[in-house]
Amino acid sequence: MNTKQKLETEPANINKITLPTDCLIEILPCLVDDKTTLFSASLVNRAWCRIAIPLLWSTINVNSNKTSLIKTFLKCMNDNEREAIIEYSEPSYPRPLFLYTSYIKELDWNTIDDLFVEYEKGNIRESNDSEKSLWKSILQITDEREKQKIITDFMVQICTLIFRTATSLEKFVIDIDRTPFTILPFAKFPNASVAFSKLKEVQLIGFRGVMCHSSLYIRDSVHLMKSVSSNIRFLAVHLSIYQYNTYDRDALCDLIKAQNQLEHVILTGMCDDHRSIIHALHTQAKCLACLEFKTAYISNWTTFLLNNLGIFTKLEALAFKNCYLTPNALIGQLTSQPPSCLRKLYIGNDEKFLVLLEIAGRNLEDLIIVEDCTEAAYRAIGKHCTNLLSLQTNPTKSSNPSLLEVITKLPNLKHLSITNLYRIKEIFSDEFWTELSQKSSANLCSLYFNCLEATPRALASFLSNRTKLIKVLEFGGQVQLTDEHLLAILNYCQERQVFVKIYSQAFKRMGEFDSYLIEQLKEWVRLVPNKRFDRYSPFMGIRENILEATISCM
Amino acid sequence: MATGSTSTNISELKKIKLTSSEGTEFVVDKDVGEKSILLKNMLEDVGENDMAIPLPNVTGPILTKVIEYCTHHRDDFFISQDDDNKKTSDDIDEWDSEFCKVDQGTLFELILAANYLDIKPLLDLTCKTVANMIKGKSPEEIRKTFNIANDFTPEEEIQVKRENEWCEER
Repeated sequence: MNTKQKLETEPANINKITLPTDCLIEILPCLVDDKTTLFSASLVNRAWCRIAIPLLWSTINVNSNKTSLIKTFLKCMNDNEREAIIEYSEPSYPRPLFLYTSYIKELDWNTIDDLFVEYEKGNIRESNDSEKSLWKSILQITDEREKQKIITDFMVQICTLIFRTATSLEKFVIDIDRTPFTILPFAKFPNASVAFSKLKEVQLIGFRGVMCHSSLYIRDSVHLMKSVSSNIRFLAVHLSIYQYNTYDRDALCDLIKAQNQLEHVILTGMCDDHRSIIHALHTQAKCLACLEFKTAYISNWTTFLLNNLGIFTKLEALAFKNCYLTPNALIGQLTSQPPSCLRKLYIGNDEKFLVLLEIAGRNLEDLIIVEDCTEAAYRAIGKHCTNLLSLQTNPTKSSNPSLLEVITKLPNLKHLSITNLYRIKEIFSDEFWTELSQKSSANLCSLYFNCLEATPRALASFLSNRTKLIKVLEFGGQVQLTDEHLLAILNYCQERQVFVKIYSQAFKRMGEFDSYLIEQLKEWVRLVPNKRFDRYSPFMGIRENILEATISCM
Repeated sequence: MATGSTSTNISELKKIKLTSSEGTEFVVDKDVGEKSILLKNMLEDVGENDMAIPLPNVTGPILTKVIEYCTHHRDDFFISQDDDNKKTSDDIDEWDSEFCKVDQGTLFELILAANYLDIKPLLDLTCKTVANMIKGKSPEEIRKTFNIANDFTPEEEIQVKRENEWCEER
C-alpha cells in the first residue's frame, strides 16, 4: 500500500489519541479562518490531517508561498490538464496525498489571478530554487505577449482542474475587470455545470464589460448558472455604467427568478433600464431579507421599488449607498407601507430619502446615514425613529448641535457610531463629550469614533459619568490613542471591574505605548481584530449577520 | 385566563427522569431537559410519561455538568443556527468560561454528550474552548497538549507540509 492509500484509508486509532476524532470533527471548524493553526493541525497526525485538510482548502487566500500553491495545483491536475502546460514547467510531479481542489468551497477568481501577478511583473526571486524550477521556461522568455500567453494557459488549466474537481463549490466571485478573456466564458469549461450546481453565493463584479463587450462572454455563464443553480442565497452584481449593460439583463432576471430562496441581493449601478430586475426580485418577495443598491441612479425604478416595498414581507435591511439622484428623480409621497420587519436602513444624505424615515422609522432599530447628515435629517430621526438601538451618522459642524439634540429623543440607543469624514476640527471636542454624557440614553454601551479630539480628562469624565457600563469602545480612522487616553480607559475598567472591547485599529502604535500600561490593559481590554470590512456590503456580509452585526457586540 | 395561566405554571414545573449510563436516575425540570433537542423530540414523540429516559452514552458526572449548563441557560433563547454558519473561537461568556474550567477528559466527554443530546450552544462552547487551546500552537505543542502520538512516516509529514505550505504565514 502506498503512502497516499494508507493516509486516506487507514482508520484513526482512537486509543492512541486522548482527543476523540468525533470531537475533532466538531472542534476544527472553529478554526476555519485561522489557516496557520489549521496547517499545524494537519501536521499533528494522520487523523488530524484528514480532518484539517478539507477545512484548510475550503477557501484559498494566499499571503505567501504562491509557488507552493501552484505546484500543488499541478500535482492535482490530470494528464490532459498537465499536458497542456507541460512544456513550460517541470515534466513530472508526484501525485498528491489528497485531491485538494475537491475541498474548495469558496473561489474568488482574483485569488487565482493574484498567484501570477508577480510573474507578470517579472518579480521572480532568482534566489528561490522552488520558483526558479517552476518558472524555468518563463525566466528565459523576454517577449511580454508570449509570457502572458503562458500565464493564461496556466490559469485556464487551473480553472479546468477546479471545475472538474470542486464539486462542493458554494461561493463564486469573479471580477470581470481582472479576469482574462480566455477564462471569462466559464460555461465553456467541462464540468462547469457540476461546479455551479451547489452555489449559495455569487458575486459578479467589475465594469470592464461596458468597454469590451465581455457581456457576451459571461452571458452564457449566467445562463448556465440559471439552469443549474437554484439555491443561491447571496447575489451581488455590477450592472451598468450609463446606458450600457455589463450583463444581459434578461439572463440576470432569469437567474433571479430561478432561485428558491434568494436572501441577500446587492445591485451596483441600477438605473431605469433595469426596472425589469425589480420585477424579477418580486419573485423572491417572500424570502429577500436584505436589499442593497450601490452607486445607483435614483429614478423611476426607485419609486416603483419603494411603492411596492410592502410585498417584501421578510425584508429586514434596505440600503442605498452612494446613490445619485437624477434630475427627474421623484421619490415623492409613497403609497405603500414597508414591511414591518424592516429594521435596518442605510441611506444617503439627500433629503428626498427622508420620506423613508417617515414611513419606516417607527420600526427601525439600526440606521446609517452616510455623508454629511443635515439638520433636517436629524429632525426626521428625532420625530420618526425613536426606537433606534443603533445610529451611525456623520454630522457637520452646523448639524452637530442637532445630533446632540436628537440623541435625547432616542431612549433605547445602545450603539452610537460617529464618523467625521472630512476631519472637520473642533466638532468632537471636550464640550461635545460633556453634552453626549448628559444627553444620551442610559442604555448607551457601545461607541465608535473615527476621530478623537477629547482630552484624556474629558474621556475619563465621560466614562465615569455613565451609569450603564460601556462595553465596546471602537476608535477607527485616524484615531491615535495616547498613553493618557489608555490610562483613562484602564482606570475605568479597573474601577468598574468591566472588560472593554477595543478594536485594534487604534493600537497600531502598540509598540510605542508604555509597556507596563499595555500589560495592565491586556488584563482588562479584549483587543479585537479590526472588523472585517466587507467591501461589497454595508451590512457586514451575509444575511445572518445583518441584525447581529452591531447588537451582538454589546 | 386564570386557568390558562395555572396550566402554564404546572407545565413549567413538570419534571422528567433521565438515567445515566451507570443507571443513576436524575430528575430535572422539563424546560431544562428540553434544551436538548434529542430529549425534546423524544418527549414530543412519547407524550406524557413517567418512564425514565435512558442515556447510555452519558455518564453521571457528565450528565450533572450538562444539567448545570442547561439550568443556568434555562431562560436563554437558543437560536437554532444553520450548519452553514461559521463557528469562531472568540467571545466566550464569563460564566461559560468558568464552566469549562475542567480537566481535558471531562471537556471531551462534554463535547460528545452535547453532540449526542443535540445541545448546540453547549457543543459550540466546548468546541470553542478546545479550539482556543489549539490556537497558535505548533504541531509538536498540540501533540503535547493532547497527548497525541505522531503516526506519520517522515516522508508523509514532509509531503503534507510541502503540499500545504502556501497557507503558512509569511
